Amino acid sequence: MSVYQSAPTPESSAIIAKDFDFWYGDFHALTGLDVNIARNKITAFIGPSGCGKSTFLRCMNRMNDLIEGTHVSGSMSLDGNNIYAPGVDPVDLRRRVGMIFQQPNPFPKSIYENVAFGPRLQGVTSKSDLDDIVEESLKRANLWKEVSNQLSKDGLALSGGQQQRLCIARVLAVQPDVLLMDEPCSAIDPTSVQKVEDLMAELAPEMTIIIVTHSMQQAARISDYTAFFLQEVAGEPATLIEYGQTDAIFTSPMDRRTEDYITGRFG
Amino acid sequence: MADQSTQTDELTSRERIKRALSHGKAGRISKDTSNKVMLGVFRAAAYITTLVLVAIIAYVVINGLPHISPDFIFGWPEGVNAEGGIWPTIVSTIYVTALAMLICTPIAVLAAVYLAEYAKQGRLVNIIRYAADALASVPSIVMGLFGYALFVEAMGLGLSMLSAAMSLALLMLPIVMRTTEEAIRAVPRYIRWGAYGLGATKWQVVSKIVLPSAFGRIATGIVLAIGRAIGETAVVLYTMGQAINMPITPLDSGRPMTVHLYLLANDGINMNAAYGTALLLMIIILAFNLFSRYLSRRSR
Amino acid sequence: MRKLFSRQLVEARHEMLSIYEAVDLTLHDAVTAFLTSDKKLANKTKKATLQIDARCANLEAVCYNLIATQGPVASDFRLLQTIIYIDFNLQRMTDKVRQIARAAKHKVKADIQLPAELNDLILREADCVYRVVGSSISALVNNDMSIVCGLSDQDEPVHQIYEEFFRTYNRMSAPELSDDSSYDDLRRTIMVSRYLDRTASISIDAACRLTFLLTGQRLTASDLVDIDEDELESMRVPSGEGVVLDPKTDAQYVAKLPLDEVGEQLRHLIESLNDDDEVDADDGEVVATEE
Repeated sequence: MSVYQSAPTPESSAIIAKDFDFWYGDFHALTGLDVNIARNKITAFIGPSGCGKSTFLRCMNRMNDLIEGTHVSGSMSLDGNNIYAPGVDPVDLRRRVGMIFQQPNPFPKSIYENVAFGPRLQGVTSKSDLDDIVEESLKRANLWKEVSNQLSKDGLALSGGQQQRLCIARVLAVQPDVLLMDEPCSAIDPTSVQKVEDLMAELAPEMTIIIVTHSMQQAARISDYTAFFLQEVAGEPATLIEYGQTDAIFTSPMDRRTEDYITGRFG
Repeated sequence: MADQSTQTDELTSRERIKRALSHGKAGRISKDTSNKVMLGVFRAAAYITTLVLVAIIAYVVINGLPHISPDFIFGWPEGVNAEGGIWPTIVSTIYVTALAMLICTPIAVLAAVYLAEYAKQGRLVNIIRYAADALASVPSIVMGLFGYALFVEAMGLGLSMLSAAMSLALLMLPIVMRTTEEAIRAVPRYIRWGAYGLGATKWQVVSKIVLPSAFGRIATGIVLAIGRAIGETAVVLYTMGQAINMPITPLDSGRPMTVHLYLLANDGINMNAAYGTALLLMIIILAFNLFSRYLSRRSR
Repeated sequence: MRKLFSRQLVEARHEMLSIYEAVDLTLHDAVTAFLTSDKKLANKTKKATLQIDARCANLEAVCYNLIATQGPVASDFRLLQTIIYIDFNLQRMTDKVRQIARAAKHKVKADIQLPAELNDLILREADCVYRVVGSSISALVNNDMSIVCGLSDQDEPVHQIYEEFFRTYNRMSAPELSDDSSYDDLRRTIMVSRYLDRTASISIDAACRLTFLLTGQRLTASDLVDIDEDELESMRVPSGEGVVLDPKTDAQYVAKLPLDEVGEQLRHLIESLNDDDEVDADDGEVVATEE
């Protein structure tokens, strides 16, 4: 049903979904997803609103467990282990699979405490360890220069783009293997978008990044692989239409629907 | 114009809309007039409200202020308790209110956390919420009677600070619970998700993120409830007694300011002392209101 | 959605076809001027090539502008890349046409009379080149990759005649000329055969980009030799309206081409256009009077 253009092989993949289906209560939201997410690459999920791309993203760190009445079928594995197997603790999983949201969401605490939050949850108490983690994480998020002399300032006092990078630093502080980004740039100004994109490119060599985006240009600019999701009929489950290397998807999509969507002639 | 009307069917929709709009103007009271009239009405309503408030405060201040002195505030009542100071009643009021707050807050906040975070949203939660709202609207005299029957009589606590505090806590409970629940719900889900995304457990999210974020609004709710409790008369009348007494243990009885005021005014022996008490009561409540404003401002 | 952008894409495509047509017609004129030693026509042709150059430059600017402002992807982007590439090759072809026109002028100036045998070879070679260019245009109008596959076969006779021309020329005894400039003029004259040969090759290069437009694969003329038509057809990917346009509309922009030099499908299209013109003659008059 779906088209794969030079999609990653299972061997080079960090996350592998097989025949994955997802339900919100009675509503069958996603069906028949077979996706390999390449390790230490950037993968972009594109598709119109309501096509389930964010839902699928949240399946990868079991964030959907927080919503009542959701359930899945099929398998989703991270480094070969099914994350929906009984006995898997979603809390541990979420530490390994960090997430950035559309709305920058710093905690109403100081910049320092925001970044130290994750390590503290894991029982890091030594002040000097925390100092190191905070500095290192803020540096990796390219935010250190801007905030190093105001670490006790409220995180909410930063600009939108800085807040988003603070959130990235906060996630980096717990050393995740995978970074899920749900439209991370749709609520921040263009300059900040550039900074976040630069940051993603810097992180990618050592981290599997998946980004949901509504900007074709952004997907084309930063991602190595692109997956196009679509819910064709309202009320029916959405599915993967086309998946493969970003160059291929954006120069010569194999599926008519992908072509129509990315060229902006959808519907 | 004439030209246009003769070829109506050839008009574009844009022209038709323009014509409809221009016709719409005719035959109506001018916008200016209606604007001015309504502005006057709104202003009058606002002035009346303010005027009533100012009148009450001025009346109490004018009558009460001359009577207020350090002796009046810190002195012990004399004669038939109508002369002298009102210190024991002030202490009783603050004592009972603080005790009520200590009893009410943990229960209300925990209940609110349960309702907002843990309980499966559905019928039961709605019923609990509705019950809380209904509880808030129970007349205080009924609450007083209930407190008398349960705490004073059935539980044998007698007319005491504890009986009164528990009854007042019943009164404060729905207010604090509902404001706390609102406050918790007002914490953006994005912030919770952020914490979950870092591998926090539910309890960690609630205790480290949600409650601290909601603290300002919760505190505001508590302070408002306290303000209400201080001004409460009927409940304490039935559960604390009327004896002038300096309460030490929770089982001591006492006479709160509101009851003292009621008795003074009822007997009409010393109206000046009544006004003085009323003024002090108003000042205390005003102080609490300002404090809650300060808290809610600061938390933003 | 994106109506304006779609229109701009279609306009760019039409301009490309129209320039292609102009190059073809100018080529005819240049060769005619050369064979008939018509200096006036040669001058006119040279001026026409300069105009074509200006149109090419403009089209190129339009395409880059669209890329910069619209962020095209998929078929839109392939179309713009294709147009830019073909536009570039049209400039090269125009350059060859101009050189032929210049050769015609020099031929007249130096009063060089080519032997009938060579004249005939040029005529035959030019005929073959017209067909290659005509087929290239037909392929683009009809999005027909089978024509593209056949182009190298059509190029074969061009190349043969070109080689034959020089063989023939070399066998002839070299004429004694009075001075160096006369030798230069002679060289230019006989180079026309080479220019014609190059024109055909460049046209094939340009037309081969059609395969990229339709399949997303960058295939050169030499790659196409190894691929059969069915395989090529199966590689087609979906395309937007800028690419798969109604060929009839496209045909309007190349309607002046000589009918016997274009592909069969395009010939039918142009013929049906002409039929329509006769039917719509009234409309045509109205337009004319308005102007």
